[in-house]
Amino acid sequence: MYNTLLPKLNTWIINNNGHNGDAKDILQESLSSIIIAHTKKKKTIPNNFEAYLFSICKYKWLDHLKKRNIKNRVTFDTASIHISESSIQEEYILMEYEQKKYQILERTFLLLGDLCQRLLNLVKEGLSAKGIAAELDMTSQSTVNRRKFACMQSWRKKLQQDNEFKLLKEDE
Amino acid sequence: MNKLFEKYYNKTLANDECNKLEHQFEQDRELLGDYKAFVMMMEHIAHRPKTIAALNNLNEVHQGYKAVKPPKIKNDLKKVLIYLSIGLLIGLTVYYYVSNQTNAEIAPTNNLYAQYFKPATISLTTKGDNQSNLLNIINTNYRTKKYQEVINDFEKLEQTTLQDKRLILMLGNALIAIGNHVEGQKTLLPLKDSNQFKNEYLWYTGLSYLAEDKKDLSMLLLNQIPKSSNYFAKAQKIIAAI
Repeated sequence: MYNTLLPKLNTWIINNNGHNGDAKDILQESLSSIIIAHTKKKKTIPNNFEAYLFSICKYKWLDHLKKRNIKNRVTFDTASIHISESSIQEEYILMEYEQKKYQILERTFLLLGDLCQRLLNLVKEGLSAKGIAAELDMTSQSTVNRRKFACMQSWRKKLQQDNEFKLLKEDE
Repeated sequence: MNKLFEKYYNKTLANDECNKLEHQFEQDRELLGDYKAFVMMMEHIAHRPKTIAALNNLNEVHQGYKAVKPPKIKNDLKKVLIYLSIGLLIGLTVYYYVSNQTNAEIAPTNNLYAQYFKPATISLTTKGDNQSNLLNIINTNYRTKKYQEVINDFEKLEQTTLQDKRLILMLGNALIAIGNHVEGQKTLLPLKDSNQFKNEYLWYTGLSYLAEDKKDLSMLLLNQIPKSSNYFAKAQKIIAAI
């Protein structure tokens, strides 16, 4: 995808207020968004993936221009002729939301202590409380449960203190 | 509370407790917010390993590409390129000035659209059924350019009647004529694969894109109009003007 799409995207971005090198970052960010959204929703990848990815890259670039306060008419659509533009735009908005959510959750998760992180990962792997107790050198299953709830509580507090999370909730 | 949330999330909560909790959610938005956060956290842990692995993989590829720098151009070659660019710039400026003097002006896309857009002539034949009266009204309104009324009357048509490709063309044209390009383009889309009306699809959708100043898309469609079509010559003129 890098080999086939990058040159095309590079030309498009340079024609729309960008510089050499911007395309690589935009492609990387767009692919990250797609990975995050698709892993979670288990959505199927569209048949015409290159056109789909190109459209997502274009919306990403538009967002960048907006953030840089550059009002620019961009040439759109050439790649997305076979995909409804409104549905791509809708999907892009959802994707951005999912990516923001992922970043906040990951950031706050990493604020937890090492023990909490390991414990929560083991819980999700489906290991029994007994197994987790053995893995983490805890005395009993009830300690595992107590720690687990304490970790979740602590994570939730960190989330609720996060300013971006508050904004995200307002957006919902 | 986490314990309760976990049971509710895993659907292992007894029915009465479940109802009680749902009732609490309705009454207490903060509690509902806490539960939503809990769900987000659970989902995050569930997908985290897979997502992180994929993102790391992507990052490696990205770093590899970032490391590739464009080849350095030698200084002499650089100088030659700079002189060439300056020469080219002067040449282009002169050309632009001269062509502006001689060609008067190049029509903007919107003018081109206004110049070329004439709704298709469509003759409907009615079968004497209960839709006939309505179709006759639509026909008359279309011929007398009462496009908004045409659009309103289309809403009253039965779904089966609406499959008729001539009607699709008529509605698409009416929408474009009143400036509702997005709906017009959507309406015309089924004609894309029609043997009889494909050229109409290319022509009118191409014009509609032109009105929206989407030159790339317009050219893409107009370029597909075959030589044998009545629209070919006009399409070529538009492409040349763009």
